[in-house]
Amino acid sequence: MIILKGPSGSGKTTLLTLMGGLRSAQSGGLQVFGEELVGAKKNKLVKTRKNIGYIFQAHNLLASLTAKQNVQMSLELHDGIKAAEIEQRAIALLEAVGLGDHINYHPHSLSGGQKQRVAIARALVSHPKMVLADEPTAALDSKSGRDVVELMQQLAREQGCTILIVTHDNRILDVADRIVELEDGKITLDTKH
Amino acid sequence: MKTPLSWLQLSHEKSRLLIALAGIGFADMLMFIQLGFKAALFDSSVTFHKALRGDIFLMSPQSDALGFTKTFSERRLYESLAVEQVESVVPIYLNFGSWKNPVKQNNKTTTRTILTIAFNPAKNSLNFPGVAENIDQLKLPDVYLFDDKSRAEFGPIPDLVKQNGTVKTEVDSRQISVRGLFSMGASFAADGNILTSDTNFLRLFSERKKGLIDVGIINLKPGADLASVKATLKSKLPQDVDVFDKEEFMQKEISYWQNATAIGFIFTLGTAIGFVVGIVIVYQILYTDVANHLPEYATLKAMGYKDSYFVILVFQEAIILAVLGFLPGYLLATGLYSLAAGATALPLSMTASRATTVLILTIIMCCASGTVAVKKLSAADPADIF
Ligand SMILES: Nc1ncnc2c1ncn2[C@@H]1O[C@H](COP(=O)(O)OP(=O)(O)OP(=O)(O)O)[C@@H](O)[C@H]1O
Ligand SMILES: [Mg+2]
Repeated sequence: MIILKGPSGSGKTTLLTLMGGLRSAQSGGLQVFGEELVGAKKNKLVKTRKNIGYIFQAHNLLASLTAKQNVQMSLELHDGIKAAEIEQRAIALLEAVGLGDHINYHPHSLSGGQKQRVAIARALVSHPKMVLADEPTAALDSKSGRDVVELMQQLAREQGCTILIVTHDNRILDVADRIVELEDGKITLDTKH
Repeated sequence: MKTPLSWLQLSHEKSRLLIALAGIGFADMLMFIQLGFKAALFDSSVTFHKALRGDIFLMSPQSDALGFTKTFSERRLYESLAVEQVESVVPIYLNFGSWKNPVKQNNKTTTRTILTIAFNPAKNSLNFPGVAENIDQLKLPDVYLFDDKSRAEFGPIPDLVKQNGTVKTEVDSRQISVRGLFSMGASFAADGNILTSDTNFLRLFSERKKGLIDVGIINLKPGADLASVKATLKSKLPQDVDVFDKEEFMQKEISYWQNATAIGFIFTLGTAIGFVVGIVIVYQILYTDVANHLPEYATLKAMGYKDSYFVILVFQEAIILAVLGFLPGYLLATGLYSLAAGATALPLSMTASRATTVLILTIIMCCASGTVAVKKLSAADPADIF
């Protein structure tokens, strides 16, 4: 669990979108999962995206889908998983984030914290190698923000995946295994806990 | 099975879906009505041709269409009897007359133009229901059969005939009596029809000369070769008659209505307008749908969904809208057909081939809109959502 912090405009979001293959890097070097992403073709970027789970500041769930269907969308992207398995894994992860009773709810009837938990389930259900989260707690009160981060920490441990969280929220720094600080596009601090 | 996002997205907003389907249904109904009337026009214009019993038909080259025929000498018909494989010939007389409605409307006598069809009743030459049963009546002087599918403005003749057996009225100021009914139907040329013998016809229209006829029917012997007889007749007969087989005879009539009048063009234009209205409606719906879902699509792109997924998604929505919108359009049009058929006495009804045509047009219409709406997809940039 890595926390990336730094003043506004320091380039945190930019770094995140570059790592995730959402933006194409023009020069320099950028290796993700051992693959060079600088100058990579769109196909390669799309492939990289499949190995990454995203959690956004706004939950970005699909309004027309239920919690379960939202989570399933992430699994359907991967070939060779049977429909029954997709459903069962989606339900299992929703139960893991404490939403076992809400699998058939649409986002508009879930609270902010619940929506973010669905988003976490969606990001983690396909066992990505890495999860990128940009200020996932910003829209939540401190209690549910804390819950969400602890949930991410627990699931990341279970699955053995890396989670990179961008945050301004100093109250959650203690969950981090490593804290990286960015200032004006440069890493100024890199501490391990 | 993958999550059917296209359907879930469309059905998520029920009222918008309903409005969309109403719009597409309306466009479909427009197309159905236009195509239906066009087909009815052409169908009704050849019901008479279809019903004539014969293999080869003669007509004056100056004749345009039924009801607008120029006469030619029946000698041409008898000349064709010289051809080995010809068995018999029948002269047909046609003319418009002024029919007096025997029932006064608001104490006023009304008249209306009616098409009079005549041939020698010794042998039935017309395959309409009612002709064979009543043909012997026509051997009596001034006796006529009335087309019970004529428009109502001619008077309640079918009811009166059924009640009293005979209805007396006037055509071109001559006293005639209707003693029976047959079923032909109105066409664009004639609102109503009566049938009588050649002798009665010449009594009624004293200006018409015996021996000058409108259509000549030629019947061939069993096993005769139609194409070769037609070719022989074409070369043998003088240029003052045209020789047709049945298909050509009907096609000439249809071509007349298609080309010599703007009717075919108008209905085609009407269909095109329905089509364009549909494109605009579906484009509005799909464009709004894509625009509203851009952040969601960007999220899916970030997760790793390819651009092609969204193109397919938009076209799936287009086809779902096409099929669902087609159903109310189809039902509405079927209802309107029977209403219009009742009001106009035209052979207007839903056919499987027209339904297929409109369904295909609807799918093309929706996909055309989809093609334009797809362009908006590139605005979904996954880099924008963090
Ligand atoms: N699309 C863009 N084009 C050009 N410059 C951009 C673009 N997006 C961001 N920038 C610039 O890049 C720098 C880094 O922005 P970035 O969004 O990464 O900051 P951040 O660290 O995420 O800040 P915050 O904490 O406020 O979210 C800023 O100076 C910003 O103005
Ligand atoms: Mg940022």
